[in-house]
Amino acid sequence: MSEAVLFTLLTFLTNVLFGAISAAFLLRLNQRWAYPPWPLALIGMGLGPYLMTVMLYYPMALWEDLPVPVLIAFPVLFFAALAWQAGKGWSILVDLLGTIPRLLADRSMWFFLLGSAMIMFITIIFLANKPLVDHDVLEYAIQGRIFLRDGHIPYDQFRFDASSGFHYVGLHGFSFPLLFTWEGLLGNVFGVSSDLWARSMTMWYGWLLVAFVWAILRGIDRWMAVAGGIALTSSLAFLFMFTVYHLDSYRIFFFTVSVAAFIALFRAPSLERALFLALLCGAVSFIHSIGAILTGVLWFVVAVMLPVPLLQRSKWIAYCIGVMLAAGAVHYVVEVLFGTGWIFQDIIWY
Amino acid sequence: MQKDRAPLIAWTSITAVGIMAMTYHLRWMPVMRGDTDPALYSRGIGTPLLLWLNGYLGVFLNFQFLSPVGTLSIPLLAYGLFRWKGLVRWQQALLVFTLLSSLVIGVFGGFNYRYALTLQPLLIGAVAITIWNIAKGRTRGLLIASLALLSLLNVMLSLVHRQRTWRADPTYNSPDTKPDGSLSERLDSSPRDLEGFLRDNGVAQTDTVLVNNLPIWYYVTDRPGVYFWSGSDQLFLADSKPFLFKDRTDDEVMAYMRDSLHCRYLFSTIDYDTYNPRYISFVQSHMDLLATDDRDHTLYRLKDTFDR
Repeated sequence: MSEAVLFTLLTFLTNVLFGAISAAFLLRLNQRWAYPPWPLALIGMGLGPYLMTVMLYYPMALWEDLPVPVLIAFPVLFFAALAWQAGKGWSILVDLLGTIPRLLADRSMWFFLLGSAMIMFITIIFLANKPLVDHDVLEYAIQGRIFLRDGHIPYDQFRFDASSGFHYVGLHGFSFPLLFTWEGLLGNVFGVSSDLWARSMTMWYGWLLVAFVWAILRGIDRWMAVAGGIALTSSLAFLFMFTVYHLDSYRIFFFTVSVAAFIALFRAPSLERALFLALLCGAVSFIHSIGAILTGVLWFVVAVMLPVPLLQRSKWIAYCIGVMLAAGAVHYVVEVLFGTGWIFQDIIWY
Repeated sequence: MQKDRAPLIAWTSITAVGIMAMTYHLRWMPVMRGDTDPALYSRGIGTPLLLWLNGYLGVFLNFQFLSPVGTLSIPLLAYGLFRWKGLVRWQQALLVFTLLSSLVIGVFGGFNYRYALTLQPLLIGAVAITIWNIAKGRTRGLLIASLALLSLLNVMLSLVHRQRTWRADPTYNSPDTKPDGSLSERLDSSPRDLEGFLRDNGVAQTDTVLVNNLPIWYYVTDRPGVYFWSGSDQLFLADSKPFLFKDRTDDEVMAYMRDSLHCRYLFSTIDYDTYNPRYISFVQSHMDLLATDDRDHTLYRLKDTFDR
């Protein structure tokens, strides 16, 4: 099997299939939330790869030396169960996809198509011509490969690999390195060593971010979506976000959808909306420490300002903390108690 | 805000931000490092003014990397604070969260545009929606279109600044300013054949090498390395992160490398070889440069005790 075939398989399995299952499941739950369907479906597409990493994280953190097929089975079985539970969500998703031809007849959407085509073009050019060369992403990739080799995620004061001398100084959740682990697991099955799919996640989440902001602005006015899309993407930082392999598009996508869910919670407070926000905040945290800190700020604002009675608010927040921890934020608790100490260690700033 | 005055305020703000962005790119951002500290210069915070623009207030004012539409959220936030009681609850919550988040990013990592980028979708979305709500008809369309134009103008100025920097300092290294070479060569800064490079220069498969902040070593080779960053003088060992040069003489450093780290070689780059004066002087006096590859990676070996 070639790298390209493995890439196609991973994209179909993780981005498309796991993403669609998550989207269908969310659309089923949307009878309670009443969110606009397109932004919610896009969040579902983003949740696919992320939930896969959570389903890899727990078995690898809890047990050692699990065989590769067992590790692959965890996410696959999880998504199979989710697909089963999605029920009516599938028909809602199919109906939603059925509106695409009508959407494309709208001239304002041509800008979106043009932008998407440009992102696709950039993706192909960069995947073909640029290997992993940048500092941070190489460290994530190496750590992901160490997880793959060891079949285990240990927590120690120093994250040091004795066989190579590599010392991982990153303090963030392991969602991004686990993308490399996942590609390695599937690669092992087919005898291919590749990082093509993990590299492509930079562009995939960049596109999802633009599509999400577009969908939100389009809910107000279609031409505002065009102007907002141009304003959002016309900066060097955005250009670099698409072209420098990194976790930024991944974490900013989940940060942005979390803020949208935060606004939605304040506009119509309910436990269901709060729990969904907690899941998204768990994702932001599990990707990067800055996400963990900012979601801490976000929940502080919820705790102080959410317009529901204090006792009820306290209960909701207790449930939400549980969901956030389960969704990946538990990494920081374990890191502080048994690992490097996270940001409470003696960091030398330079 | 009176509805009829709001578009005028929006036009004034957009014009002011446009002028500020132009001044930023053409006047305030240097094109040469001069005497500025290399680390501060590379982060765009080499002067007190830039420390505020690209550092503490980088979420809003880092025009080098971010859209000036985000800057327009400053009057919006100020207005929100001024008219606090007129806001509904979700607007108040969003205002407080935005201010606290900006504070956190500004204090801890504003100088890093990647962190400042986190709030851009939120700020740009908020500005676009506000402008939509304060204007009507043709004015609304023109204001919305001007946001896109302002962003496009700024990114052009950013690219022009990069070209000016490269013209003033040809060693300035970036894929968009490299004059020639195929796309692949411009995008790929990794060593072409690291194994061959090491083998050709006599580094055995089992030789431990001091690796100066180049994780590519661990990604493409199975060779042992000691991870090190000259910029902070830190070694990253199994059970600690000690300094290499601090509290040691050059001869002690040499003995420590040889006898404790069992390491005679150093793998680095020309770029990284400029950060730490003590490191530079040690490399010049106690190491031999074995080779530099065509992508500026450097390989050194400790001089032997007989100074051969």
